[in-house]
Amino acid sequence: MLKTILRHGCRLRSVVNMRFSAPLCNNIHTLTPSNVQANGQIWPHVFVSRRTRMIDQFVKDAGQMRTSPPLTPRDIESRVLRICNEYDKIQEANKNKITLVTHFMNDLGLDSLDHVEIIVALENEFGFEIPDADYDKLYTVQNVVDYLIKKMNVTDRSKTTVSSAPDPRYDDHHH
Amino acid sequence: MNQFSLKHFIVRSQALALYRDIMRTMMKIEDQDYRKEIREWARSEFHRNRTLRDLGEIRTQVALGRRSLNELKLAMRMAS
Repeated sequence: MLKTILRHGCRLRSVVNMRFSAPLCNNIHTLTPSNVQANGQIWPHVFVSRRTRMIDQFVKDAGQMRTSPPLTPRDIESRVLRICNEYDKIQEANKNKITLVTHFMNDLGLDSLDHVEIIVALENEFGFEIPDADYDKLYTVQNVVDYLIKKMNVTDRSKTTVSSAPDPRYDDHHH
Repeated sequence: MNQFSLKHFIVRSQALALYRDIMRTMMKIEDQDYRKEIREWARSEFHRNRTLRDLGEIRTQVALGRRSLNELKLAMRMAS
């Protein structure tokens, strides 16, 4: 019963089963004067509080495993502009003037090798390889942003987050 | 007006592909100083040879660059 409650609470079934059975077995036999209530019933409240701490830790760990927040077009735009501004071959005068319509070669005076460096830096930033044939499409900042939005399937509305409704998968496991 | 033939275009694409591979390999290097060194080496080599017009010479340089890149990749694999 307790296991089911915990399972609904933190959805870490296999971990809960593994980790808690030993302390559960060990502590259920522990009887101290503080556990015995006035009417002779035994309530292992000390045991429960220890488990709460462990649950907090598990929930915290689960939180760390959350994936990165969904991207918006504005995120992509700002990241692309940041990568461009970090590029060392751009003149100081041009650095803060990079906009969506900036053309790498015509406006920033870069050559084809510099262009390759920038696109490779973007590949590194966004974590996927851009095929060689597509490099020719990416001469302006606007083209880069549109291309990335298309390739990463970014929409304006972020995807729905995980709901806190009980998970039906665990509903028929009553011990 | 444009003196460059299709062969030149192809060879130019190969040179850019080599530069791209060097840059991608460079991104995998953790050490920032070593990364800078590789970038400076690649830039100086390519800029030194940018005025070459003879197809044979260009192809030779690209092949040498490929070989250097393979050595670099091997060294990285052995270091990790």
